[in-house]
Amino acid sequence: MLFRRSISVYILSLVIGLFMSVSMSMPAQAQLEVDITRGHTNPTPIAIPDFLNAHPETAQISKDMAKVIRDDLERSGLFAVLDPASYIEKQTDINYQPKFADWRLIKAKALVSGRIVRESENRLRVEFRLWDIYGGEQLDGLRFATTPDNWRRIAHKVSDSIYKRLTGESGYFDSRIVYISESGNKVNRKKRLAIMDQDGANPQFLLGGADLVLTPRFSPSTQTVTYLSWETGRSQVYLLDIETGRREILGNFPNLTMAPRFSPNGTKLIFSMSKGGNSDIYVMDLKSRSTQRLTTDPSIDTSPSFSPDGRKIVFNSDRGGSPQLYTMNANGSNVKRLSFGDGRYTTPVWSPRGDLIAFTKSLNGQFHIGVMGAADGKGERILDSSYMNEGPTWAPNGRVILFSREGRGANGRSSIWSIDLNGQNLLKVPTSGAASDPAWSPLLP
Amino acid sequence: MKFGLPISLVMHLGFIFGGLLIWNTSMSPLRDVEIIPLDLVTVSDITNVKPTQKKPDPEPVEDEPEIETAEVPTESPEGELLADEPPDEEPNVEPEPQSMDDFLDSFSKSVDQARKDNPDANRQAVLGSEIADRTVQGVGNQDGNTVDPIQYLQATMMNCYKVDTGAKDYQSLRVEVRVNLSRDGDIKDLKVLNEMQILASSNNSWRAARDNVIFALNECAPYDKLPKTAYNTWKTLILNFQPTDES
Repeated sequence: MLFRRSISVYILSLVIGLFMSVSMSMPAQAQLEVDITRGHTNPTPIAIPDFLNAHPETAQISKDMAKVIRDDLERSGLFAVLDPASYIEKQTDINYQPKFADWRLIKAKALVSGRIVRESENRLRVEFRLWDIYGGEQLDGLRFATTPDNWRRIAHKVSDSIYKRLTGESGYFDSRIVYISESGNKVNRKKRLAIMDQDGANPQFLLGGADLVLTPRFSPSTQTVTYLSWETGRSQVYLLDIETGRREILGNFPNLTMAPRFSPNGTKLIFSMSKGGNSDIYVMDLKSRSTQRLTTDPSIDTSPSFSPDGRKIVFNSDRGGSPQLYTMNANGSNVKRLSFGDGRYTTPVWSPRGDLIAFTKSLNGQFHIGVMGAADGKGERILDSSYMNEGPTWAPNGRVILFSREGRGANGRSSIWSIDLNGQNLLKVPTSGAASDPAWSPLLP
Repeated sequence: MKFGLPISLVMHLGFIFGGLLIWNTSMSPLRDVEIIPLDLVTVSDITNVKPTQKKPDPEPVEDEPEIETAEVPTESPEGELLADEPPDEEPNVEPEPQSMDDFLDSFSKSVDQARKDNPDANRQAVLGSEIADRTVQGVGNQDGNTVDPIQYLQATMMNCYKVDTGAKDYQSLRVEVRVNLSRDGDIKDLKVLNEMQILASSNNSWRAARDNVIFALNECAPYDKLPKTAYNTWKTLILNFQPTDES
């Protein structure tokens, strides 16, 4: 018995030893490791056929909706919408997988297939699916219900969904721009407060235009706008509810008030006020209407803008000899200079992502729109330069900037332009007339 | 336990003796080697091989002589079939066997003569540029057997891998992928190795960067230019995607 057990132990140890020696002597599974550090930045080719529909009353909407989505994505600069005439597959039902090979042939990387269902006279159901052509899978699928006259907003929401799925960041298509509509020459210019969709559609005047208005800014709720007006003979800060048209003067300050802007949570308003030639930064609690002075320097401090978390404020000041950008805590403490470059830095705006500050800079007879690091002012880059660029405002996702540009001469017209963070995709925003001083709303709810 | 030790000893001894026996019989003695006497010569004294030298300036040509052209007959004389005419045969003389000394003497003479005829023979030729001034992306005929897998993959992915330079901190959005490929270069399976890190991040652009990598890998497939003879080296790839400023 002992003998058999010893033999068993011996054989077992031999087997284990043999296994270990064999496994150790075998080469490891070969793996080739490659670093891929370079790619391309070309727009993603995407196919967006007209949405399917089964009712004559929705036929036009299905075409228009697809066009709005195409235009949204194309204007973002991140997508290249393929010509619908090149599409090989004509889908008749979005509930079946597309023929991926047909879409690969025309080099589409993504496909949006959608349809509109008329549920009742005043109710539409819009559905779409986003397909990954090379991966052969559905990336997203959503359904919206709305009234027929609201189809444009639904189209923008579809664009936002596609954008978010393919870039990882929120879109900005279902948003609005409040701006100053201008008419007349520079000597006798009429300025009216107006609003439009981010793509220039649906422009509307918000005020009559009898008085000079300037610097409109959206509240985070997207329902209220603050602006400056000389309606009472001196510049005062107003609040306007864009749905009801109700207006309100904020405070009854005897002095010049300028550059109002909401805090990120919409409970406060920050602005500058001039007393005896010295302009300082103030913050007002909108509920209690109490006002607190934040800067006391005997220099011109103006153009304040909150950081997205509400803890910091960026502003411009000439306390260093020329207008430069500074940051401070929300209570006015810990003032630090942010910009150190040549030229005059004005109109700073904190990015919704929190990482950058957009500004206007005048240097060598030109006005530049640029960005710099919010933490330390480093990484300054100029995005666009012209005879007169000014007033940057951020898209809700912090990837695009709007600004106004004015042409030379007495008849030089103002216009609104957009540009992306890399200084590419410079586009003019279509407006019916001259337009300036844009402010981008947050995404609509 | 009583018999364990002796049995173990016997078996170990058996293994050792058996091993020695096999080893002994498998070894063959070295063959006798013919010893050749050699003189040691300092090579640098004899050869003219030097580092890259500049090409000497061409000597000025004075009064270049006119080139005379002789008329070349275009047709063979009639009835003359050159190919069929047997050449004059030299008398077949058996060469006398040379001694080693004679052979070395004649070899030395021929080297001296060659050096006299062409003194620059040992100089390295200098081409238009002294140093390589262009990068050759690949060598060989690029037929799948000579292509370098790393260069091929990097070059291929440049066409498919989209870098979103507007994304927040885009240069830090590293995506590590393990890809198993078939012999034809098709993707058998694909796994994002730092998936947990990406999902845990508050930067949503990282997820989009991961998706861009997967799009790119699917779009560029099949990787059929990879050398099939080296399949074992690339059948499993670890690809680290991290864009730089140059993207």
